[in-house]
Amino acid sequence: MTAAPSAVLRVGQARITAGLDRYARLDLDAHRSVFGPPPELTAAALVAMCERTDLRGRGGAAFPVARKLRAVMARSAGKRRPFVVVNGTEGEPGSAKDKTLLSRSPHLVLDGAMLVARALDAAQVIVAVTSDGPQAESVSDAVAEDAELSRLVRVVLVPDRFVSGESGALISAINGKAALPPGVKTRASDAGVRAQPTLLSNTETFAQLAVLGMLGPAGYASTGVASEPGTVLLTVGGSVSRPAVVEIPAGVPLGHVLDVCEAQQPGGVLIGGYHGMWLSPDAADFAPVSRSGIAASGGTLGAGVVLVLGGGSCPLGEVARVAGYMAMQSSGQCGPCKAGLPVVARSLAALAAGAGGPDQLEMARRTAAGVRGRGACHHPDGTANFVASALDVFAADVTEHMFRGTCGRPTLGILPLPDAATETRLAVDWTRCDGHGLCARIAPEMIKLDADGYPEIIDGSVPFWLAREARQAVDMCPALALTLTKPAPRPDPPQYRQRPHPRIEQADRGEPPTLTGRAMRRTEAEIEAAAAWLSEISGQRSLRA
Amino acid sequence: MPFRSYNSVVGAELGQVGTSNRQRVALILSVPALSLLLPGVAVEVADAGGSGEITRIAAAVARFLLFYSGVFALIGLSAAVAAGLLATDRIVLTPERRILSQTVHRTMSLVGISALANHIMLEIMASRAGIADGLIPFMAARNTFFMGLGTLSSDLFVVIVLTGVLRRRFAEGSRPVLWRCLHLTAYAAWPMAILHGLLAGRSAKPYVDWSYGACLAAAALALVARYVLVHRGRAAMVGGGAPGPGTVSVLSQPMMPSQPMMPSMPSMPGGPAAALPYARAGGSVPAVAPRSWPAPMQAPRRPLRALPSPDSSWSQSWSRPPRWTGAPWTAPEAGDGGDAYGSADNGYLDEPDDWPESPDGREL
Repeated sequence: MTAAPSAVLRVGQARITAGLDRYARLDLDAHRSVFGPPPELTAAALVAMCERTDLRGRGGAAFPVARKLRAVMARSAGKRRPFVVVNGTEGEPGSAKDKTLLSRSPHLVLDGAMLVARALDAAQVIVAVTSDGPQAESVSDAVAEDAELSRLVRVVLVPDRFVSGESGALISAINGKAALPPGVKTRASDAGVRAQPTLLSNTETFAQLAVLGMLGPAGYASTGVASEPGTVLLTVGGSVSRPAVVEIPAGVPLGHVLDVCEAQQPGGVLIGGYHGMWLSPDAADFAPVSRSGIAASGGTLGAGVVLVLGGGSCPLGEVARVAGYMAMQSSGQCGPCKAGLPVVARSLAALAAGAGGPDQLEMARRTAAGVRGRGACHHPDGTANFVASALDVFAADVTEHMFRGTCGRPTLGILPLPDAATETRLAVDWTRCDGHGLCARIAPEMIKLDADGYPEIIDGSVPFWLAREARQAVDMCPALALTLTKPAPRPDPPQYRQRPHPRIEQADRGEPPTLTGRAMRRTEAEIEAAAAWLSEISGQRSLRA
Repeated sequence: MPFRSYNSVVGAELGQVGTSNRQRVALILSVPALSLLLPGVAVEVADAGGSGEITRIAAAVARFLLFYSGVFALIGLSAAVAAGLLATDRIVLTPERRILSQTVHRTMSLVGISALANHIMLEIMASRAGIADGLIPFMAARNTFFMGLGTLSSDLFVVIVLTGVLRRRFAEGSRPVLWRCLHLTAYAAWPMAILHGLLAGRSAKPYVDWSYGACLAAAALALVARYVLVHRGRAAMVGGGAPGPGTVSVLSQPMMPSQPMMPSMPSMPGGPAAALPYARAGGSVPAVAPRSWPAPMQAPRRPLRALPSPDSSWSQSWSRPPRWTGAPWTAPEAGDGGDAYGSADNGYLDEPDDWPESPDGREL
C-alpha cells in the first residue's frame, strides 16, 4: 500500500530474519544453507510443541495455534483433507513484516506451511498475497524451485484493501465470492476453502512454526520471556530515522526498539496499527514488547505495527486523516460502521481544523463508543479503539485545538496511508458550487453540508461500495461542480530481482547494542540490567551457531 | 514447469470507482438505436405478405406506431423539458424531490428520443418524408415550413440528449457554460416541436391544441420564475443559513478570558457557569452555559494544567510566540524547564505550584 520499509533490523538472536544480513533474498539453496533441512513432524508432535511454547497467531487476534490445529484435525478426522491458507494480505498500511518475509525469505514461510500441510495431510496450500509489492513474484518463484511445492502450493492475489485480510473475507475471496467479511460467522477450521476444514493463519505464524519445528520447544524458548517465548516481528515506522522490520526477543522494552530505529521524541506511539491503541511516550518507553506487556500498558500488540508520532506534526490532524481513511475502508455492509465511522472522521477533522468545539469532541467519542461490537468484523471496534485512545493520549492537544483552534503545527502525514494520487476522489470546483445540496442527499456517507449549505467531503478515496453514489452525485450536480479525479496509474511493484533491497543492516553487529538517546534517562541499575540481559541474548549470533 | 497461477485475482469483482463511462454511454444510446431498428423489422414482416397471425400483428404494430410514435415523442420530450425545468427549482422542492425530478427528466428524455427515432424511421418508410428530411430541415416537398420545424427540433434534441449523456465530460472540462448553452436550446426546440406536431400532420382535436398552449404558457411562466424568484430566494437562504452574530459561540471568540476557561478547575468554585463571564455579561450566548462539558476534561490521563491568566499569556516575557499565531513549533530543549519530553511544553501549560486539592478528594 505504501512504500514498505525494506530494511530489516534485529535485536538479539536472529531467528526469522536469519540470513537476511547476507542475502537480499533467500532462494532455496541459500535458505537451506542458513536454516538446514525442512522440519517434519507428526500432527500430534506439532500440536504438543505449539502447546508447550504457547504459540499464538501473529495476525493480530493472537489465537492459540494449537487450538486451531486441533479443531482442523477433529473436523477432518482422517476423512476430509484440509486446506492450509497462508494469509499474506497485510492490508494495514503501516505493516510490512509479512510483505518483507514473503519477498525476502519466502522459503521459511513455505517450510512452515509445508510442515503443517504434511502433518495434517492437507489437500493444498494456498498463499494469498496482494499486488503492491514483489511478494507474488517472489513466492511464485520460490514455489517453482521445488517439485513438491509446485504440486501442492497455489499462489493467489486478493484485492488490495484494508478488510481483505479478515479471515472470513479471505476465505470468501478464495472461494470466488467478493472479498468481504461474511455476516454469518463460520470458523475456517469448520468450513473454509471449498467448505473443507481450513487452517488459516498469518504469514509470520508459519515462519514461527518453521523455526519451532527446526529448534524444538526447548530451543525455541531459549529467548524471549517465560510466558511468551521466542521472538516477535515488529514493523517500526513514522517519525523514525530507520524505518524497519525489526525482530526482537519478546519482552524487550519498546523504548529500546525505538532507540534502535532512531525514533524522534514521540508525542505518542501507536501500537497494533490502525486497529490498535495509542500509548503515551512514558507508557511506551518501558512497556515490554509482548502481548501481556503491551496489554499491561493499556494497548494491544496486534500485528506488531509500531508507529511513532514525533513532535513536529499536529497529532490531531494525523489522527483525523487516518480516521477518514478508516471510515472509507469500511466495506459498507454494516450500518453502524458505514454510518458511524464517517461521523467520527468528520468530527475529528473539524477539531483538527479548529472548527470544532466540545460538541464535536463529544460527537467523536460517543459515536466511536457506539459502533463497538456492531459489525460483521472487527473494523468498527478497532477504529473506535484507535480514536478513543488518541483522544486520551493527545488530550492536551485536543484541548488546545478546541480552545485555540490550532496547535500551530502542520499535519505532515507521518502516519502512512496509500498514495492519494493513485486513488479516485471526489473533488469540488468551488467557483462553480452553488450549494444546491443534492450531492449530500445522494452520498451522505461521504458528503455532508456545512452551516451555509456547501459540501464537506471526507478526505479519502471513493470506496467501492459508494462508487455508484459518487457517480450519481457527479452526474446530478446542477452546477457541474463535482468531479471524480482521475487516478494516476499505480507504479509497478518493485521487482525483487532488478532492485535488490539496498538496506541490509543489523543492529547488533559488532558490539552489543548501546543504550543511547532517551534510554539514558533510566537509572544506572536499569541500564546495567538491560545491557547485561541484552548482551546475554545477543550471545548466540545465528541460528546455526 | 513454472508456476504462474497468481496472475488471476481471486474473489468476485466489486464496483469499479474509475471515471470511465464508455459502457454507460453505450448502454444508454442502445435504447434509441433499438427503437430505430424495431419498426423497420415490423414493416418488413408486414410487407413480406402471408396471412399468418404474425404478419397481422406486425402490420397492426406498424400502423399503430406510424399513427402514435410522433405523439409519444412530443409527450415524452415535453415531460422531459418540464421535469428538467422543475429540477432546477430550489424554492419549492427539497433536494430529494429535485433528485427525483432529475431522474424523471432523464428517463423521459430517453423515452422521448426513442419515440422520435421511431417516428422519423416510420415516416420515411411510409414515404411521407424523404430520407434527407430526417436530417436537413426545410427540404420537404409539401408543408415545407412545419416539416422543417420538426427536422430542426429533432436535430436539436439529438444534440441535447447527447450533451446530457456526456455531461460528466463537461463537468471535468473547463467550460461547463458550453454545456449549459447547448442544453438550454431545448427551450427553442420544444416550441418548434409542438408547432410541428400540431400543424405538420393530421389536424388535432381542439383539446390537444389547448393543452399544448397551456403547457407552453406554464413553461414560460416557470422560466420567468426560475430567473426572478430563484435569485431572490438565494439571498434569503444565505442570510438565514449563516450563523448570525448573535449565535457565535463564546468559545470561538479570541481567547482573552479574565478567568481560566477550563471546566471543573479547582480554581473555579462556582462551577462551569462561573467560568463564562461573557455569557452573563453579554447575554448573547444563552446556548453555551448549560452545555455539558466534554469527557476528557473530567477524566484525563494526566492532571490538567491551568491555562494562562490573560496577563501572563500576553506578556512579553515569553520565550516564544503563542502557538495559535501560527508560529512554528520547536521541540523543547533539555533544560527548558519542563520534562524532557512527554509534556506539551509550550511555556504556559505547566502545572501551577499551588495545585489545590479537589474538594471531594477525587483525582482531577
